[in-house]
Amino acid sequence: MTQPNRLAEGGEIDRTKPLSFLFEGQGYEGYAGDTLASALVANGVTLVGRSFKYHRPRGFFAAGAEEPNGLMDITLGARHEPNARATMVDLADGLIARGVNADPDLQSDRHAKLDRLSRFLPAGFYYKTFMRPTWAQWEPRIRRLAGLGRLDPNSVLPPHELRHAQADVLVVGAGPAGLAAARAAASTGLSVWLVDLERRAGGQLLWRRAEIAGKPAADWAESCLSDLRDAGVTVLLRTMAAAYYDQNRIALLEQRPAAPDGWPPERLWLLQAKRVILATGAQERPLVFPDNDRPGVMSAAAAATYVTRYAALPGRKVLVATNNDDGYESALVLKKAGAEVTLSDIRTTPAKALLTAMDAAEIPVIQGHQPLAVDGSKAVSGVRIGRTSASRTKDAAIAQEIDLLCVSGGWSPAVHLFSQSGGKLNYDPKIAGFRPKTAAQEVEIAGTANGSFGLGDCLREGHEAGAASAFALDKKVDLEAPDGKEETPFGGQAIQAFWRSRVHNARQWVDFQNDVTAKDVALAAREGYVSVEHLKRYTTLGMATDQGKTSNVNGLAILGEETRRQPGEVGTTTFRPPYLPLSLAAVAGLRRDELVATRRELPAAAAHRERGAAFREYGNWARPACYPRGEETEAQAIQREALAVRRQAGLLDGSSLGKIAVVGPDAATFVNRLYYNRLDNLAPGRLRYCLLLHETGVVMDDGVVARLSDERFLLSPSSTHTDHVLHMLEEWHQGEWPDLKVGFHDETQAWATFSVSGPRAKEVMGALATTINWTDAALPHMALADGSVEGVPARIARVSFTGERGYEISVPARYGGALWRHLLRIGRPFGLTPFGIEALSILRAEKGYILIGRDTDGTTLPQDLGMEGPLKRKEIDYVGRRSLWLSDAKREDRRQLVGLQVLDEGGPFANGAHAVEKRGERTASIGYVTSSYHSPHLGKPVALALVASGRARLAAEAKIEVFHLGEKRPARVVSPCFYDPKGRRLND
Amino acid sequence: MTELTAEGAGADLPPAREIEGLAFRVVDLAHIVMISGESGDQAFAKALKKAVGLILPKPGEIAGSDPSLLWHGPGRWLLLGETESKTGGEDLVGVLSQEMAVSDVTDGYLVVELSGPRLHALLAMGTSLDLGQEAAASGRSAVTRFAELPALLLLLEHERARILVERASRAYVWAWLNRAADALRSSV
Repeated sequence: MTQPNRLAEGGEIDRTKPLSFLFEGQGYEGYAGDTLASALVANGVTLVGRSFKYHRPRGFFAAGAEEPNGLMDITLGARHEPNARATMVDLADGLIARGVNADPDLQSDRHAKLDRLSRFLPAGFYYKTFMRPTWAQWEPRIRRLAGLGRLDPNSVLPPHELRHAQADVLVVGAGPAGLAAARAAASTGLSVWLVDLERRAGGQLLWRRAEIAGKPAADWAESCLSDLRDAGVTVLLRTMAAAYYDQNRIALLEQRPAAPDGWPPERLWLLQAKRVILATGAQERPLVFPDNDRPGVMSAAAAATYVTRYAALPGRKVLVATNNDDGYESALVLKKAGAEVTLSDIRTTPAKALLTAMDAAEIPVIQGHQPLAVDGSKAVSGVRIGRTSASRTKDAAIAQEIDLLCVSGGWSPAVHLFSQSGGKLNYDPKIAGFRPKTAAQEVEIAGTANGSFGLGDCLREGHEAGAASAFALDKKVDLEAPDGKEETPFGGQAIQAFWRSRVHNARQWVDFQNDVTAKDVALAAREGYVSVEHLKRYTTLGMATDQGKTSNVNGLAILGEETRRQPGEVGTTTFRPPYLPLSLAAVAGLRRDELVATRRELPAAAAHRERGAAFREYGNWARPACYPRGEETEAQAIQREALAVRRQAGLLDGSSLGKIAVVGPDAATFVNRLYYNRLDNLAPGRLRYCLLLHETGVVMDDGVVARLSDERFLLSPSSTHTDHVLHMLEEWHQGEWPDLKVGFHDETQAWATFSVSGPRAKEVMGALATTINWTDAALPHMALADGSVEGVPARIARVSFTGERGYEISVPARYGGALWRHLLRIGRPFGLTPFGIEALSILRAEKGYILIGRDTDGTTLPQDLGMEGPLKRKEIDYVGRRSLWLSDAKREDRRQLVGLQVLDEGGPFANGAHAVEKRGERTASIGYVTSSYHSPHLGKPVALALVASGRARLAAEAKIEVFHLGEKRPARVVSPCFYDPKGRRLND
Repeated sequence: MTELTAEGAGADLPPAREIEGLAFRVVDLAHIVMISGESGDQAFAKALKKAVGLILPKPGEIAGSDPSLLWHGPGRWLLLGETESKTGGEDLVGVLSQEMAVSDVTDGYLVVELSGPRLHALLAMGTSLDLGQEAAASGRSAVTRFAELPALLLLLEHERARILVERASRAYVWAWLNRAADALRSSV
């Protein structure tokens, strides 16, 4: 196989290691050391992508991270990546690549006809056109045309590794500035990390003709890196600084192509650095002129990079078009590689030294000219150029046959991370670009990223940034900055800003990836989108995976021209992380499959599984919803369990219920100030049902509070609120009442707690060996006592969540499984049935016992639940009290808890269904159903609801309607307690 | 009376992954006792010294070895007893509770001991704590988060640490450790 554009010598490639790969079904060969892009360039492939909107043919524009066109679908063994930048993909044997956004392939994309309709598809076309009848109707068809690569649903990445790390100094970018910075900082003994996106350190040193410390620049970069490694610097190449967060925390994505088969090819680091030095370099911008997006129009620096690093010559007949000195450097590199090169300069009077250098290299220079038209469709075949002032294509005075058009529109400092860190930018007309102005974190920025393009400046600034970071950490740098010299001192200076050609009757591309033209920007400005943020959203300029690396500055400068503002006045959009797309698998790390979220298990989880429990998550606790038997459905099991509790006895695992000990001499004062209900008069050994309020008076939690002794209370918040209540206790203690001598011990998980309830609960208790006197006289309802059960330490409380006589038995968690099994064994003669949360939900709803967050919402006050006692009688101040006296709290039409009786034969109401009434012509919501079940014991539906003026409607036995999915059903407002309103069963 | 079988926090967990440079196992401590008091209260400090022979540690410090005492939060400490004999057997909680506010939370935690040269790599996967600095002074503790869970981390020696996490998350954290060990095995 031949590689027509491969040079015989030079580059980082290993010509002894050929690699075969497929692109668009065609076999090619490259070498170890190639990127996929450089191998395609070496093989003379020009068509590598189709544009997003118009499906125009596109070629490589860049050689690195800023590549907007060469997105490809890559398969290598089991690995699949849908939108890989070919410029960032190491070539590998057997790699299969194909272009994206083309049907069936890049050469014969059937959607290419869209380009012919482009005059009808300007910016905002989709927003304006597909509003009627609805967007939803159009969306599927438009989605098929849009979007880039497609994920392979069968491709599963292994769990990725995420690691935290810390460093004194992080240097991002291992070009001349980054190397000099790391060298300076590391010389003081600080812990330094140096990361670079590329697999080789050096940045621009890898392609520029320069010397540092008497060595060729690329050799100096190698030896400097080796010295840094020896000095203990952590060097991560192929590593992207993806995001810059607060407190100098940086996300680094490390590519690990050498990872063993089956292991993740990436690792995410979260690094916290005391100081950060950004030496992230700069990116060459395109020039904006008609048809500047043709395959074969390439960044001049990229072309030089392909030649120098990969020995791939992208074209043999080349025109270099530039508006700055740096295009000359690229022209020299291409000429030296054997290309026939002409240079056209927008400027009329470039520096004499440049012209002398071109003359010596026999490169003709056409001054004061710009490209006005590009010939060719899937590859450049010619260019027509005319004076810089020309405004019509036909003004072109010179036509040239070429196969590569190199463009240099100046350099944009890569300020993405600096912006993410909160740093502000400033427009500098000297470089026709934005450079850092003020930093918001402990960060330095150096070299071309700082808008300093000369090699000497890069080395000096890098060194100074390293020294400044060291100084900030009390270290002094004794080294001198490395001395660098470019072979021809161009350094990208002397730019003449040239944001677009004046040819108005042709499309000139600003954003290649998002298909935005200069006309689109002008249209947006005419339609009033004069803020750069609006421009971005209206035209999609600088959006998505590209983040405007090559397009932003040109785009906002054109907006400035349209609105008669300087680029600095227009400003920039917000650069968002990540710098380049990264996989969700890398972000998730180990948190996937069963580890996607933390989950808590009950101490007796294994015993529940033995009984066939169906587990569901309640909060983040996995708890038995029910225990289906044989062929029974879950719904049948729930009804059976609820009935068993009412008729015989049931056993519930309540271990997840909170157990927070409030201890200390001021414990009583503390809980009395915190809770809605009075607690200072609670006798030791007794329990009280209490509400906990927000400062707004809204009910936050309910639960039983026990007094164990004068100086010890035990709170039982709801299972899902325990952590929150614990935080609340700490907050009020530390923030408001630090003088109170009190402490909080979360004992929740140290104990297993089981609730035996039902008319035969007493008989079950009779079969239990315990030292605790649980007779009604010694242990009445809402009392507790300590002792032992079956020889282990235990506590028994008389409390009920079902409305039946109940005993709550707690033992150390290690005995949870054993006690659960034991209780079921001894309870069998009395019909003791394990029941889950779903049956409990029915039982408590029958009684009108509320569930916070289910039967209450973010407005519910205690009086809305009919609990007004403490409000009237508790005299001391407590959390939320003042809010309960606001006029809004006293409104008669507040939503209040009521029961709803179903008046038709339609079964239970839907949860969340609205209670409605007619108000004139309108039907208005007056509340909603919060809990609704079929009660197996009562043989009819029961429902709780929050209804406006609920109590007045209850007094009037009002009839209302319940609306759900277009159907209205009749209901009567009744008491929320459907079962045993006098509470006799608690003591039966 | 039926004898109830105890199941420690490590009961029925799958085997720990065996990888080079890292070992981890569940440790059953005899006692974990939560203690509240005022750090400036002389009587409290004296009572504690008398009961267990230890001086109240500051945040990050570990006092003693068996039992050991570490800071758990403002006005709160955790006493860890390795063996029944050294901590006075079952009476420890009883003895302490006569003098101060205590809770026996022995059954509330899973205690995992990790050791080996790759210990710090594994810890760095679970916590953002600066272990480089912590390692420089072994014998330190931290109230932190590990594997998305609230946790107590005890750096006992340079290559030996313990993590205390809530018992209810024992299966989760064990699966996390095994998966982290898998990922570590692939690390270069």
